[in-house]
Amino acid sequence: MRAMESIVVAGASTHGLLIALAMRRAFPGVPVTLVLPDGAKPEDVAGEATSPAVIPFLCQALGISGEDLHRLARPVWSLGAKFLWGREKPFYLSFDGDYLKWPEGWPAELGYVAASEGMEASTPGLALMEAGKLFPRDGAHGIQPMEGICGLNLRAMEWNELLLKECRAVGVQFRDGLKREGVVWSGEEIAYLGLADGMRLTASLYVDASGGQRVLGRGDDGWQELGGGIFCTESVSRLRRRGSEPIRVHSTFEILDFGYRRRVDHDDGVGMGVVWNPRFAGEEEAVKRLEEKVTEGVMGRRTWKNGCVSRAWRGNRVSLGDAAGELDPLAGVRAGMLIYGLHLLRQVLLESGGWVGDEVRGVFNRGVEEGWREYADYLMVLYKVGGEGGLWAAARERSEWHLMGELLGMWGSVGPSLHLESCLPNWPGAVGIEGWVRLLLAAGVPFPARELPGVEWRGWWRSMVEKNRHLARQAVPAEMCLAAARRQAAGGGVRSGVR
Amino acid sequence: MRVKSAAEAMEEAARKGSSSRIMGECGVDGERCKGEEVRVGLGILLAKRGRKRWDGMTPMVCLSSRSELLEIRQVLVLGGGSAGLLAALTLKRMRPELEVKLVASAEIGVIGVGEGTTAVFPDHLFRTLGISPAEFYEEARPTWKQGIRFVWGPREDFFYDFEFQYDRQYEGTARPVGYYATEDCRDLSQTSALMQRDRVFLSGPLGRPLMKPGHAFHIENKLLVRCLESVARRSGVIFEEDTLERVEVEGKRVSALHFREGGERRADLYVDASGFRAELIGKALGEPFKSFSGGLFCDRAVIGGWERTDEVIHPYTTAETMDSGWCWQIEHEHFINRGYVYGGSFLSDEEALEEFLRVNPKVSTEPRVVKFRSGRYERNWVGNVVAIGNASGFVEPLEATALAQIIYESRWLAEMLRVSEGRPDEVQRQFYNRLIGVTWDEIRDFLAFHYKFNRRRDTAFWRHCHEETSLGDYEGFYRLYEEVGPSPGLLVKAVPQRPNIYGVEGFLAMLVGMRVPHRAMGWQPAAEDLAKWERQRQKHAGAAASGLTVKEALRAIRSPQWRWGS
Repeated sequence: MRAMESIVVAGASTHGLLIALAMRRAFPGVPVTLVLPDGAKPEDVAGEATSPAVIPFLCQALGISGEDLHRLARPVWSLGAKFLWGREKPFYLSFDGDYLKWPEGWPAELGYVAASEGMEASTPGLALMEAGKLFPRDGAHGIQPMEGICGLNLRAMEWNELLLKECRAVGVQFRDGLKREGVVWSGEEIAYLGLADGMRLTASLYVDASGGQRVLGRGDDGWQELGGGIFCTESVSRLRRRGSEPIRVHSTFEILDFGYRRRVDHDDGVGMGVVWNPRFAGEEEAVKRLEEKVTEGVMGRRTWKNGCVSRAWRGNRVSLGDAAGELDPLAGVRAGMLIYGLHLLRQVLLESGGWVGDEVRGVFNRGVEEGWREYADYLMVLYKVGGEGGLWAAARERSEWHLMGELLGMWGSVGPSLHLESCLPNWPGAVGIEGWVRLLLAAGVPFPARELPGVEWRGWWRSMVEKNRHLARQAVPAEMCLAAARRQAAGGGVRSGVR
Repeated sequence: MRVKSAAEAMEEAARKGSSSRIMGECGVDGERCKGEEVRVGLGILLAKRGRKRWDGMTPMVCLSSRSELLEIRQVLVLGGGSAGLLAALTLKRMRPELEVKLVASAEIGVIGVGEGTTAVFPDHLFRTLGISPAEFYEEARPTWKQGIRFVWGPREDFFYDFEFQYDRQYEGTARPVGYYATEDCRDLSQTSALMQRDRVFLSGPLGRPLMKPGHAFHIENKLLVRCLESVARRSGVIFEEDTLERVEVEGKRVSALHFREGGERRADLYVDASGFRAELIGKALGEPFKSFSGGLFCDRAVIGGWERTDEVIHPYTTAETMDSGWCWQIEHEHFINRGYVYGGSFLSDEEALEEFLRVNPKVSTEPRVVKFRSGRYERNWVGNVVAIGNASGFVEPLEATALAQIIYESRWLAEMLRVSEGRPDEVQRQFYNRLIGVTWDEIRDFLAFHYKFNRRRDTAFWRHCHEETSLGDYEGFYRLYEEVGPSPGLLVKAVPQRPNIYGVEGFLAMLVGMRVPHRAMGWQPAAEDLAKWERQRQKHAGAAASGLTVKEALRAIRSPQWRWGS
């Protein structure tokens, strides 16, 4: 493949729009056409919680302004997740905290201290979540937006409206009427896409952004199941109007015998869903458990297969996002893996100068596949620390890992040692070593005790925790932060980093 | 883009990890947890060995969970060469609670050639082991090495340094450095510009050397050993002189060593630093040896040298292509050490000697031939034996890896003892063995790149190397290079295993240095782009021109006004 002359993105909804916009931004001189396939799957009505990777991606790679983001997509900042899960007490998983740090004078890596003293309020993100606050104050009247440790909660309808506007602004062309049978291959390359109106679309690169529909997929793309049949594959969800309750600054996952209930907060609504594995319950039971919490709003249903393709890039076709792989939403990786794939694709295309051969494709395919496999192991850790029911017991019976066996074995042997980084086979990895350690500590995955020398570090730790708690006590709830951001968006200037 | 290496992680741990035995309490969420034994997270490895499987519901941290494992308190190091001394010193320094005994035989000599180190060495010596630079420079009398000059491949020569030449992109230029360097690869970094001009350091105030970290040494082995021994004795390492007679083995563990004079000696952990003899790991425990002879075809060296007269002391090691191998030149202050590494199946010892003397007519010492085998033991930590140095593996000194590998092995061992509180388990041994195996295999493959692509001489040996050398685990890395050229951002994704010693930088230094073809070689930068690249090189060259020679720098550090650490 030589330098690109045109790109066709096949996909509806968020992923299609995001990818078309990202490609247009990355290669401004290259025409991009977004073609909508027939029979696209619906988006999750409850909305999606994303990781901190999303904010810089939106602002830098996609060039979306903070004003437009707040005015049109109306996201809610999220500091992480709360798990009512397994252990006696709920636990929080934040986006901040490097527990492999070993500050001068301390007896060991901070993770050992956290395991000994408890993780509560050990980072600003945790302290804020525990206090139900979003951002610290900045002086008497200001807010200090800590967007580096925040993801965004987004609803498909508003989100897509923004992306559509941006795509139009940068000149993305739109077509519809693509069917799977209209995709014509010539050996390893797509020759053209035949549309319902008889038009033939050709391009030097075709991107499959059609999610689980995989409209540009082939049977021999090397589908690999992840999770060994343990992970959930179905969900029902509703979006209800917000009452008078405060906006939660985190997603919430509450364990059920056959799956879990999830909650994602938005500014004027609350998304609730029940996710389950049909081996352990039927839809009727899932709906019943959802309706214990919410009965209003349109019911959305989704199904997916947990797995990924090993040949996401073949010939002139690249599959990204859900089209390359899907996982149970507990992993929270939908947007993250889309961005991961897009970054990789952009880097590969730019750095190879367009000389894309089998080796470059191999680098991309390995990177994407290993990302999915790593996240499947991440998800499996959460399953293993789940409840007592049949689903969770089945997860604990599984002893194979997809990629991270050495890291998890070493964790069990030595705990949060900085040498865990040498166990990352795909360094720096999709999760990152700090993310792994946060999960393993927060979820209470065991390791042998260590006795820490001296006593002064205990005082230092408590002082750090108290500082975080003080920051959280003085902090501002989500409603006030959002109101300020929306006001500024309406007035044409968002002060925060979301620009 | 640059991979944070395992060595860097170790270094951090090494600097902080010298605390003594730790005492205190631990608990979860403020509650003490007691009693229950939990060995391995997620129940994987130990479950296979029939131990308790983690059920996902057990508290995070449990007391006394290592109690069934033997605590290592006494370590016996067998061998008094640089491997034994560095291992003993590293263990004693990083784990002061250990009793470390080193037993060496007066009957067994040290190989004792001049050595080049890598930049890992001074850092370990001064920062981890806490040896004073003043003492080291006084006792060991090193000169500095900023890299290697390769007389290799189609260019007249090129430099490999310990800085970054290729894993970088100059500000304002369109592509990484390597894409511009097909024709001219001089002055790409400040260090290579210094080496090019036989300068070792930039000149600071009052003409003193600006001695930044990242340099290495040329050092005479006997002086190094003497210096290390003196420091080790002061640091509490117990020295005993004796000759090993017999090893007592029970299962896959050494239960005692029997010596000629002192009889039986026992320890909790035995460090095999017995060199090529590999008395414990090889002879006693029978660990299989993995030969590198499929990719590295040299198995002998003829060594000699002469007293320096008016020759310039180069701030680099030279590696020069010979008919059936290559020749090193190591720069000591008063002596020049040369060695011809060759393949015994391509020429006889007599022929090698003849070629060696023809190229080095000044050789005044009696040349001697050393035979070696390249390879490594499958596992370096078996039961209660850890092999370090030549007992663990060996490759020719083309990249001066011997001392660096000893340091890696010793540090990792000390670190495993730290994180396990002196009670390492099988998971850690497996981890250690994988790490050390990966580093040895990377060295093998890195050297293979040197042989596979050196087309300087058309002899039977080099034709064989070109056709038969396997690139091992780095075959995919090369194929990607061939497709995209010297792109560090993409190539880092093709590094097959972690940890990774040389990084993309090391491999690119050789590939671009030897002008190994790639598909993007025809790329031409725009004139303005090329001008920016040239300006950066000129900046390096300009600064290097006023740098100090090795002699000037030696004079500076020996002047009464010089202060270490200033």
